[in-house]
Amino acid sequence: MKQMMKGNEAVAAAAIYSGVKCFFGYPITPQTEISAYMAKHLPENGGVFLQAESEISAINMVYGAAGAGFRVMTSSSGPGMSLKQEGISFLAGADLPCVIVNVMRGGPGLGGIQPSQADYFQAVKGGGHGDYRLIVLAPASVREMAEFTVRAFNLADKWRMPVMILSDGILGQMMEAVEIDELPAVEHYEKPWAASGRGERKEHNIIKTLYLDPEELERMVFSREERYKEIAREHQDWEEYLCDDAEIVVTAYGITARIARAAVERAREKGIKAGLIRPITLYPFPVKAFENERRAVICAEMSAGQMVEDVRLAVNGRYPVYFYGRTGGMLPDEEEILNCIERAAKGEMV
Amino acid sequence: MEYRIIISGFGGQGVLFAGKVVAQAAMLSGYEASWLPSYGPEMRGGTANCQLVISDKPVGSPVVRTADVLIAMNMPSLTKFMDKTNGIIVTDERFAKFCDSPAQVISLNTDICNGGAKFEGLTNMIMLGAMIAKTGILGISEVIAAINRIAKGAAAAIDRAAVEYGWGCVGERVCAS
Repeated sequence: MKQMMKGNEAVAAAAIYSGVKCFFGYPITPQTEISAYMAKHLPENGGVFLQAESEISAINMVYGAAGAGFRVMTSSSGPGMSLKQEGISFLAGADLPCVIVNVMRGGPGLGGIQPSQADYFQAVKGGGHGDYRLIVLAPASVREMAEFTVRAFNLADKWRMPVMILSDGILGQMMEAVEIDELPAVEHYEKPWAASGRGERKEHNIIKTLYLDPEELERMVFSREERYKEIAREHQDWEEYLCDDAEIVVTAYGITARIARAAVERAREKGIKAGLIRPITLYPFPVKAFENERRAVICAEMSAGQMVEDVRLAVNGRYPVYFYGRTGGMLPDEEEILNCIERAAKGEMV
Repeated sequence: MEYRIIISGFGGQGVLFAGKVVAQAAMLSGYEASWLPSYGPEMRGGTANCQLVISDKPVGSPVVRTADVLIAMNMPSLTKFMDKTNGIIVTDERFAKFCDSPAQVISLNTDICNGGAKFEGLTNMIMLGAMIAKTGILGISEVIAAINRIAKGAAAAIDRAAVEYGWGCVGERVCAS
């Protein structure tokens, strides 16, 4: 049945649909509804909800549950996500699947509680220490908040790694209609590596991240890198809008993409060949989306300029890449994006 | 068709609930709809608002910069949003006289007129009823169905009555564009 849901509630409902067995969280605006929904509904669905004493505890509880082979999730925002970074590095280093939701708010520091996309670097480049990556999915609607949660659990188990849903305060707080009964299929993966009791196995399964022998550690890191390369080949995902003949392409993810789409439509009405590329996977970044020749790309973000660096790497100097951003909780303006498109079309954008 | 609405008032006046009714009714009417609340310090007291977009195609930005309709349940809300409204403002007659806006103002006595007192605390539903009567963007039966989906028992009954009362306060009807 179609129902109106907050993005945060949709994430939580979809996680339960995906068979999440443990949720460990700590409240912080604007993601608290995820915890609240889980507190109410996860126990009645046979799972464990626990409000930890801090975000650090929560992420390390995730490590424990994931190591035991359970589907597990945590969520946070801003300062809370920063606290989790050490634990995320450990999860990546131990090859543990889990889903982490970041409902981004303005930073740095305590920042503010209004929506932002300024945690892109932290999510995509690795906020913790060491050579590791997360698969990062960027929903742009409440429906996608739900769908991508299911996808995140499937990907996490398939690739044995943490998957992050990078959302923002608007997507978390807003309500839209969602068909919570019509979500993608849940995939099930055997977890013979899990520390879930020795059973019939000859050896103990040990989940660890410490490798004092540098040769062994390098081997572990390189094998993980091979996996990341395979993921980059298989899972780049993006959405195109009016791109077939587009000369000026706006690229934006999440809620910003919806504002950019409206600007692109208005540019088309003015006779400018504009289009939109909306990255859906931020890691792996959809490099393939930027293969076609354009006159220019404008990267619009709710940050001081983060994804634009990956766009520049993808374009690799073939045509100009411009940036437009608002940050601190301020929203990109349709009018201002339109203005950028017009200036880029006239060659006046710098 | 795209309709952008701001509902604003004090925390506790049912700003967010009124918005949820509108969004739910829009969904039941087959429209795409988004509901975006203010979630800052407002929800801990002070003015709160929610922004709604109702459209016959997928909603782009859920943020309302210029509203087609403003429901202003207190003076600060009217002051804050009247200049961002091109269309219709629904407010109480106590505030309407201070309204300096080219928008069409629907001025309601939400407290006492014609038995309105029994709807004390239901300014949100009265103004919602008046808004749908004036704009025609949603049918009253869809709004009633929406209330039945998200409110329960006696609260739902009084909400329905207040919407119908507000609906009755507005005589002349104009069609939604």
